[in-house]
Order: sequence, then structure tokens, then C-alpha cells
Amino acid sequence: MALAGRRGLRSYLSGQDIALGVIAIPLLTAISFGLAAVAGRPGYGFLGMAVDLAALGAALAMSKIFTVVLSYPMDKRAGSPMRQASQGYGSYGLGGVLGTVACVAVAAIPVIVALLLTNSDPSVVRLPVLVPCAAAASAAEDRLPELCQVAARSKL
Amino acid sequence: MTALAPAGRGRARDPGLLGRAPGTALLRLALLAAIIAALGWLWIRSLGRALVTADTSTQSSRIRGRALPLARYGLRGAVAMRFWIYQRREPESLIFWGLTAVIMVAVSISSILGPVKHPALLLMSAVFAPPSSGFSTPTRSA
Repeated sequence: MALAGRRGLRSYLSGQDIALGVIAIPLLTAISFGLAAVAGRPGYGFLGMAVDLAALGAALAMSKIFTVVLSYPMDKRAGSPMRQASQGYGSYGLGGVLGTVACVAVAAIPVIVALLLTNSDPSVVRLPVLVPCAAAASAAEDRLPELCQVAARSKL
Repeated sequence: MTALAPAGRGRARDPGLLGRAPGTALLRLALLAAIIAALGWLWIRSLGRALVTADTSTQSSRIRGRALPLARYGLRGAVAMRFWIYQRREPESLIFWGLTAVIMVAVSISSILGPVKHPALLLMSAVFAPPSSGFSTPTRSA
């Protein structure tokens, strides 16, 4: 697919985010609630969902940044249905995943701190506020690539 | 003899994990075997579909005689729809989504099975699952 300019690239990445979000949000939410239920603390499902949303937004934002900064060619080889990094680019994929994990862990800290600070508040008040705030944080994190672009172009 | 007696009794009475709860241990083994069998079945099914089925997906719109459902929303909609199809079709994508679930369970397993149900482990699983998924691979959109 040919991408004409910056707007095309932005639309392309946003389209991917929509498809991934449609799958990831229900999946991660269901797993979080399932794990919390199995652990005997169903209420933790809401907390897990809040962290899921924040981490998802950060992961999508970081994947966009790495897509632009650290993209590399892949090819299909005989005997495997999986695409693999072309020769000489093996470390790029691992670096992208590890970089994303590290950045997401940092980006999720505010949500985790918010969970800890509101630990003593009643769940009826706490959860309806935390989950939308985490969703808002997720949406805000999605602007991270543009902020990075602005920061890179700024002159100090 | 009296000093050694409690230890001796303790050793004699320790039946090991299987002796303590054979039903639970067998249940865990059966659960693990069922999970492995299910993942293996999914893997074989995905491979079979990828390797044997004729790939006509790139012409699917032409064959159906209509555009992709979200194509009217421009490039963003077309990419979203096409990427949605890829997520269902590619074995690589299915594996990554399965991996996401496995990572979440693995990170929080001690919180589930252990005596101390600490919420931090459940939250950690939520942190580490999204970036470990396939979409963190930069080449997805390269």
C-alpha cells in the first residue's frame, strides 16, 4: 500500500490501532476479570482493566514510534508460515519489544500510583472514576508519537 | 530416641504432594494437558489453513463484488478493516494474541495459586501483556 505523505501514514497507523483496540480491549478486560475471579477477588478485575487500558494506549503509541524509527524488512521463508526479520535485522524485533515493555512499564506508573493512593476509598466511588480516567490516559498516550515529533523538532 | 521421635514421625507422615492431595494434583495435570492439547490443536489448525488453503484473500473484495465495509471512511477505515482480516487469518497474529493471555496468566499465577492474593501481581500482568503482544512488533506497519 502506497502512503502519500505524513497524513497517509497517520491514517494507516490509526487504522491499525482501531483494529487492534477492537480485539485487545475486550480480550484484556475478559482476562483481567477472569484472573481476578479465579484469585477470589472479583473487584480487582476493574483495577486490572484500568491498568490494561493505560498499558494498551502506551503500547500502541510506542509501537507507532518504533514503526517509524526502527522499521525493518521481513520476509516469509520456506517451511514456516511465520514472517521473519530479514537477515541482519534480527535484533530489531527484540529491541522493539523490549523497548516497548520498558516504556509501557514507565507509562503505567501514574495509573498504578492512582490505584494505590485511592486504596482506602470506597469502591463505589473509586472504580467509576479510575476506569474512565485510565481510558482517557490511554487516549492521551496515543498522542505520544506526535509529542515526540514536536520535541524532536523543537530548538532549545 | 525421644528427641528424634518427632522428626521421625514427621518424615514418616509426609506423603508428598501427590499423597496429600492426589485429586488436586491430577486435576492440575489434567488442566495443563488440556491447555497444551488445545494450543496444539489451534496451532495445527492454523498451520493447516495457512499452508493448504489457496490464498484468495487479496482478491476477496473483487470476488464478492463489493468494497470493504469500512472503506468509505477513507484510508483509516480501509486499513482497519484489512488489518482486522489479517488478525483473524494470520497464524502469527493468533499466536501473539494467545501469547498475551498466557503472559497474563503466567505473571499472576502466584497470586492465583498462592496463599497471599496480592493485587500487585494481577496488575503487573495487565502491564506486561499489551506490549508483549504482536502489535509491539514495529514491522507490523512497516
